[in-house]
Amino acid sequence: MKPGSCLFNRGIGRVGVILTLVSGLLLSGCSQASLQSSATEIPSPVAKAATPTITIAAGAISLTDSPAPISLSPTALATPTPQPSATPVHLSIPPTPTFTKAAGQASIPKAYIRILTPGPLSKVLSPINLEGSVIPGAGGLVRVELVGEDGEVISRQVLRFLTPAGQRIGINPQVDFEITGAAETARLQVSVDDPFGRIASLASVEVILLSMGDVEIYSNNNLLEPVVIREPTPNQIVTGNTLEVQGVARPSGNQPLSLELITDQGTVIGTRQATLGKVGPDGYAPFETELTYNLETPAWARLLVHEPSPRLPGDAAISSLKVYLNPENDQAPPSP
Amino acid sequence: MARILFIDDDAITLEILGKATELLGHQAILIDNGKSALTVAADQRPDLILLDMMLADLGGEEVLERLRRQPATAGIPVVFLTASSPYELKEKMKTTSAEGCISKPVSLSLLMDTIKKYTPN
Repeated sequence: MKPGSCLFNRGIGRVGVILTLVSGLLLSGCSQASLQSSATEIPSPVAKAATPTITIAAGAISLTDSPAPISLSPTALATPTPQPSATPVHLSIPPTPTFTKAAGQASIPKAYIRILTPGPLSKVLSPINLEGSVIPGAGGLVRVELVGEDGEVISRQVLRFLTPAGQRIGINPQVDFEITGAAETARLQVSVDDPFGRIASLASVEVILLSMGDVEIYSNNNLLEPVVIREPTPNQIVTGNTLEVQGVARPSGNQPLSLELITDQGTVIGTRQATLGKVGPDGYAPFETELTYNLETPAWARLLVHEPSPRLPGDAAISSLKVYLNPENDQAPPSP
Repeated sequence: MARILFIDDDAITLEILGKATELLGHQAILIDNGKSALTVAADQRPDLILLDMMLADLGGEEVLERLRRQPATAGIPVVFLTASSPYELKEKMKTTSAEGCISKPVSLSLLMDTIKKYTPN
């Protein structure tokens, strides 16, 4: 394990979350970030609310959910584990998928979070050498988790990167684990949150954890976004009480997608399931549904589309974007 | 989803193959001895049997022969699992009625290919 990091293991019962401070290196493309500096224990590792957030010491914070900028006051960030930064930090949370249309058919964008290795069906020993790339979420945070067959989190690390807004970086955490049997199926997932603690994007691969034996590592050959939201578009203004949602997803099982609309205050104002249609030659199936929401006054909200994991509890993938909901159509939207 | 019967007296091999099969979206039935396997195969009629050649109670060849004699299991494709060398595998395949033979440890890609090759869907 790297200096300054720790993990918790189910068998031991030791609970901890790692906040690895990654600083200094401003990386471009998929170059790998170097881990530096110290780590801080985060109190409660399992609950979503335990995800560490940070206090930015000075200056206003500008958060961008492009194309429209989002400005937030510093109070938007809870502060259970202060990680002061000497300089103002500019963050960017771009919409999960952006895509271009080509010759009548929309192409599938590259994944927001890319797990290069281990790929699906790899057999791994501890520690797992994860290689990937991601645009960090709010506070420069990236969460790496290993989820076991019963849905329990076997290992969790939260990496922090100080990089320019919207900068894609390489990640290479070592993920330690312990299992009681010879083998266990698990989901290795990477996710990022938005400034309000909502998951903005999640990607995962299913692997087999071994306590002994031969490692078999595959590369992940499919680095396209698993769930693509075509409608609404990021930061779209929506009037009325119904949100029409369209998109495509790469099926990982037979279960329907789950859609959620969550306000900046964390209130779930609408949920819906969407069944996937016929899988096309590109391996993607369309989905389309109407999501009715309960809202009296205009507000920003995040639309999340969850693709359930076919064999393990939890989600295999999550994509999301922000929309401005204006039920009365009576006001211009404030800055997000 | 195919149902795969694994017959191997090594518990670790069985567990790993079982997990791998589930991850591939199929159902695994795990049996650690030849005698029980004959009964389970007849009762559950799996789509494919992966059979260790060196079982503790019955030899893999004998289990295969009995499977072929049982009407309920005669038509089920059987693939041997063995730690033998490639040369020995080749020689063995000349004399056996098994559909195939793969080396242990079994890679997941080979397992996936084998399931695809010998199961209907």
